[in-house]
Parts: sequence; C-alpha cells; structure tokens
Amino acid sequence: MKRYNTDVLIIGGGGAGLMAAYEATKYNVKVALVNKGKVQKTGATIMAPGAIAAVDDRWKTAGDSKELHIKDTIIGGSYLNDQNMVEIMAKNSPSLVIELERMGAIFQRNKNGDKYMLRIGGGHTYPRCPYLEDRTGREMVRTIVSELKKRNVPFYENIMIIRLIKNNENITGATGINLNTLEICLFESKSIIIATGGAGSIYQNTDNSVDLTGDGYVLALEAGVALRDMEFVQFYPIGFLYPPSLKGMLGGLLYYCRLYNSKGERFMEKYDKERLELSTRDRVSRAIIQEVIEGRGTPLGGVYMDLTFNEPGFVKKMTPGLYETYINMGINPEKEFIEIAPTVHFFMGGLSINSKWETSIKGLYGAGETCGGMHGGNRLSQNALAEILVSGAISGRNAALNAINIKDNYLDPNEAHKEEELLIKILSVKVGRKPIHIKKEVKRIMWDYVGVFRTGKSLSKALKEMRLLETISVKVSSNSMYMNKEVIEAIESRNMIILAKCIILSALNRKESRAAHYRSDYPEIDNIKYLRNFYSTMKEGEIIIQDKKVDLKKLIPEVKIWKE
Amino acid sequence: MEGIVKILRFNPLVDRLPYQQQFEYEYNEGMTVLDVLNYIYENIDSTLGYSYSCRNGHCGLCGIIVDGDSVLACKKAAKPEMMIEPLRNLRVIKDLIIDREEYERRLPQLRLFLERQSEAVMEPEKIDMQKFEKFIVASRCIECFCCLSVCPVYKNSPHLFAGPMAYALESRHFFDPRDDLNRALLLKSEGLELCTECGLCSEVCMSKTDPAKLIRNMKDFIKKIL
Repeated sequence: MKRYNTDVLIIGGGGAGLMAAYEATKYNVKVALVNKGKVQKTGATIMAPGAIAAVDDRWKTAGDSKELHIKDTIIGGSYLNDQNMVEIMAKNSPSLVIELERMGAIFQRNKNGDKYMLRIGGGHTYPRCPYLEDRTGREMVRTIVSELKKRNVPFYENIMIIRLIKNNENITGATGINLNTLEICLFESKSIIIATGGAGSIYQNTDNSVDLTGDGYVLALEAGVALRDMEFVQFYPIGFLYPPSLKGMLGGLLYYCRLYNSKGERFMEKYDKERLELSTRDRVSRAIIQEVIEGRGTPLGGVYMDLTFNEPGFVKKMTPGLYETYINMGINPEKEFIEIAPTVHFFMGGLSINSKWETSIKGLYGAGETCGGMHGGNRLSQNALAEILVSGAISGRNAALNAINIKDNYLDPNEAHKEEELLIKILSVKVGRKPIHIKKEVKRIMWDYVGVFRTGKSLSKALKEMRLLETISVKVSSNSMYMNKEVIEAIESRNMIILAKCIILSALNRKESRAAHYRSDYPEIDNIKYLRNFYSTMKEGEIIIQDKKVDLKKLIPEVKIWKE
Repeated sequence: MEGIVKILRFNPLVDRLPYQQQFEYEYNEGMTVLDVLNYIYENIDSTLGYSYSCRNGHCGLCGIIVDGDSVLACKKAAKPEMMIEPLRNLRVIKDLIIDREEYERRLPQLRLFLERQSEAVMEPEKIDMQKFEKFIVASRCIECFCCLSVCPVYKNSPHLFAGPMAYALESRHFFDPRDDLNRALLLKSEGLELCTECGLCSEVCMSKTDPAKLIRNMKDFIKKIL
C-alpha cells in the first residue's frame, strides 16, 4: 500500500481538473492531482477542436453582451439550466482566457497581433469564442500543465480512484488502485474535486476517448451525491461507422456535406426543408436514425455523407485532419460517399452542485463535464471549454478555502482493506465473461434502446438487460498483478452499468421530448409538467429518482420558442 | 481475407528475452493497426500490452513500429502481413508499452513554461505574428515519442542529447515572443548542437510539428545572436 497526504486532491487530469489544481495553488495549501491515465494523454479536452465562449468588452463583436451569452445558453438548454451557474460562467470566462495567456497560451489573433479572432458556433448569436487552430483544448491543457509543473504540483498518474471516504458528512480522502502494479493507494485530503469528465464510452458510437467510462459519476453517487439531468446525452450527427477503431469519431462537418439515404434521396428535405443539413444537431441525428429505422439505411446502419459536390481541393483545404483520415481509410472524399451515423459527444447531466461547485458533501466538489446544471438539456458548442475554465477556477478556490479551515486529517490505513478484498475478488473469479465483453454489451444496450430515440418500452427493456448484465461474473484472463489492464476494465464495466441505470431511469421519468432527450411515445415538449430536473441518488445499491422544479430566476420561457 | 501479424512481446518480470508471437485476424480494407491490436486483445489474448486513448491522433499514446516504421497505430492502415514492435531507444514496460517516465524525468530541466521579466502592458497583449507562426507549429507536438525512436544521435548519446521531442517542446518557448529566458544557453547545455540534421524525426512526425525544421531554425537564430 502507498499512502499520500495532501490538502486538495483533484481526481482527473483534463482541462477542468488542471484548472482547479492551478487555482488551488494560489491559497497556501498542498495540491495534488490523480489521473486514471497519463495527463495530457487522456480525457476529452485534448481532443477539443473548438473554441472558448467568452464575451468581453475588449474583444466582443458589436451588439454582443454577456447577457446575450447567458440567454443563448439557457435557450439552448431548453430552460433546464441552473441559471446561476450560467451567469457565473458568462461573467468569469473572459478573464480566465486572459489568465491562460498569462500562463503561456496564445490564441489566434488578427494580422496586427493585437485582437482575438473569434469563432461562432451553433446557438451563439455572435462570434465570441477565442481559439487556436483546430486544437484549442490541447493548447489549454499544455499551458496549464506547464504552469503546474513549475509550481511542482504532483501528478499521480495511472491510478484509478475507487472509493471516496467520509467522516460524517465531511470528505476525508479516497482509495485508489495503481493500474500498473495493482498496488492500493490511500489519499488523505481535506478537500476533493471530481473532474473525471463524461462517459461517452458507455455508448457503441462515441467520439470520446476510451478512458471516459463515467467513474466520477459513480464515485459521487456511491458517496451520497445526487446526479442531475442524466437523461440528456448529446449526439453529434456525423460519426464514422468504419473502421472499428474510428467508430463514432467525428466524421465531417455539417456545413460542407449533403446527406443521402440508400435510395439516393436527400432526406433532410423531409425533416427541415429550409435548413436541410444545417438544421440543429439533434434534428439531423433523429432524421438519420429515422431513415435507418424505416429501412433506408446503409449496410453499416447509417446514411451516406456526400462531399463530392465540393470543388476539387476544398475538403483538403477546409478540413485537413479529416481529409487525411479519409485517405487513410482508403476513401477519396472527392469521388466516394462515406457511411456515417450519429455519435455520442457530451453528457449534459452530472453531479448536483451549488454555485461554489460544492456537492452535498462538505469538502467534495465537482468541475467540468462531470457536473450537471450548466447546460440544462443541451449544450451549445464552445461552452464546454468555457465551463472547464470557470468551474475549475471556482471549485479550486473553494476547495482550497475549505482545506485551510481544517486542522488535521488522517485516515486509518485499514481503509485499504476493502480495495484489497475487491482485488482478490476480481482476480479469483473462475468462470465468467471478459470485462471487455461486458463493456460491449453495455454499449450495445445503450445504443439500441437509450439512443437518439427512446420509448417507455425500449427504456424498460434496457433496464431489464442492464440488471441481468449486472449479475454476470466478470473473469480476467490472468491473475498477474503487473500491467493487468483487465482488472481496471472489470471495475470500469461495473461503473458503466451503474451510470447506465441512472440514464435509463431518468429517461423513463421524463415523459416528454425536450432538447437532447426524445421520446417517440411523448414527442411533444411539456412545459407545464416538465420544467423540472430529475435527480438520481443511490439508496442501498438501488437508484432512486426524485425531481425538483427549475428555478427560472432570470429567464422564463416564452411560448413562441416552443413552436419552432 | 486472412491477416497475419507478428508482435514482439516482452514481460520484463517473466521473460529473459523478447520473443515474436504470431496472431491471425480477419483483414478488411480500411482497418487500422489499432483495430488489429484491439481485435487480438478482445478475442485472442487479453494479456497483450499496448496503449491508446483517443483513437484518432490526438493523444500520442499508440506510437509503435510497424514493419520498421515508427507510426501511430490509430493512423496507420493495417496490411495483411505485418510485424509490430515497440518504439526503439526507450525501455519496454510490457510488450508494446514503453516507459515514458524515463524520458519525461529530463523535461523539467528544460523549463517548459513561460518565463518573463515584466507583465503585459495591455491584455490581450500585442503579439509578434512572425514569431507566433513558429510558436503555433511547435505547439502541435503530441509527444508520441516516434521521433525519439528514429533519432540516431539520441540513440548513441541519450545523456548528452535531449532528443528531437524535447527540442520541439523547447522551441515553443524559444519562439514565444513574450519569453525572456536565455533559452539559447539552455539549448546549448542540453546538447542541441549535436543534432546532425538528418531529418529522420520530421519524416515520422504525424502531428506536423516538423522537429527538424524547428531545430534548424533555432540553430540559425542562435548563430545570428551570438
């Protein structure tokens, strides 16, 4: 066993966790970060091609304002957002963009080098988002990591946190397992921030990295924290279907393509005559699946993306990264169609937190995608990177301030027993299925029954299959303690099932269609019954769903919005 | 059609020497080398050691050698017959996984962060766009270690020569118009001059960082100021 002591522990080394660590170092406390994989090599931030939504007088487009950013975000979220959080994001994100530049980042500028170039994204009224090439997230991560190295913040890498430890309702630490050696690690910490990102990997088609299995959601849930809005999962319409390793990866941009079904019809004409492929992401996603359901899909279960109408050289010029991928796959996008289908991109739901980003447990905070509330039922593009900065900074500060007030904090080393027993249990199973096969089952069930379209029937079926899957023994191939990846996959597969149940149960309760959640059996939006959020909690191993009305303090839905 | 892949395997806790193992798989056009590794892990041997995370060239974890070339497994098209080995010049932890930490331990002495004397007079501050163009290129490195695997100077002088990846990372700060540290001296002490400019590092660079060019540019720049 290894024992670590710190004041603030951050779980997760993506943008939000790093930002939280950075902020916490300003307050004379010891800060440490633990990550399931290597920092800068795992998580979603390093893959983010987008930009950071941030309206500021120094660079804003004429007519734009923070108020408008707030409004766009709440309308995008279909009024289920925590409006306090949205306000805090819009207010704080610009100064944090500047702070990143003080740390070492440089964002794209005009020819004179004195003004930001700004990007616009779906749902934003004006261009308001600084960026760097098509790898803004990578730049953010690199910058904060350099600063944290300078400040000598320890990174405990390749350690998966398994359980949070509380004393009454105060957080006191966490246990973890080293992925390379299966050694148990005990972390004493006065404050803990969960920044483990989303969970795209519980779906068959996703553009998320493989490590995003929703571990942080389950850590919090099992410690007694509620998860909110879990029924809202964002799909991006264009994901690759082939080859397997690229399945779900972002396959193209809606601006540059036309979509055809297997009958050669440009089917978006039926669903949104005006905007066609430029309709909202959720509509295009539903249209694609509708075509497949009605028998007009491609052999791999999607539709065709056509790029051939663009003038020669256009695809290569506008999307160099994608062009390279097409060529690698042996496809010439100027001559051939590409099979695509919707893919899971983002989780709007997550930890229920207050405006200090603190959970119901004292000393336990959340940051980034792993928290719910900011985006309501659907996220606008470019708001994820803004959320990373703001939630990181605020949770980091509050976690540090909490730690300052706590004198001593020591854990009983016997706490490690539970994890030792868990390991022995996993390594001693004689008959069972491989962890990767359990994972694949979860992915299939979620994709088939809890995808773009849901019905009461499909959700009940998913729940039943998930409960059955839970009872199946998981067997690892080798009982070696060294570099035994399957042991971690066994723990991940359990987390995936628990999280899946939260999503299914929340979706069962929302008998309407709103934002990213579409129920074919309840296709209308219902503002009378459902301007409320659903919360999942765990009682004696069972998931319980409760609901609470949304606080519409700033912006109340106007009826006309729902008639589009 | 049937595909055959040979993989160099080694578990330092069990094996005295690395050995080759042959696997069969269903080859389909368009599949990547990562697909083949995943297939083996899922269906044949779950003890195979390899690493990846993002699946599409962002994370730099899946660097390996396929038929002698240092590549990213996720970006390399599979062939019906292949030989796969771990990257060279680095210690192997298990099978295709190399010890990144051994190399990363040297990075702190390169002071890979912004060092400046004074604060910006206005924010966002005015940036010299000519230098910014080089800063952008240097920032593209995804630290996949492929360049280290082919560098003949690093192979022979790992203690005197920091290697193309380290220099690429350093060049981000070297070309940062705001940075005030004497990085020319730092690079001299880290062995930059030993680079023979063979260009092999840039040939294998998948992230378009072009380390050879960055190294050449820094050398030219240092010559001018000295």
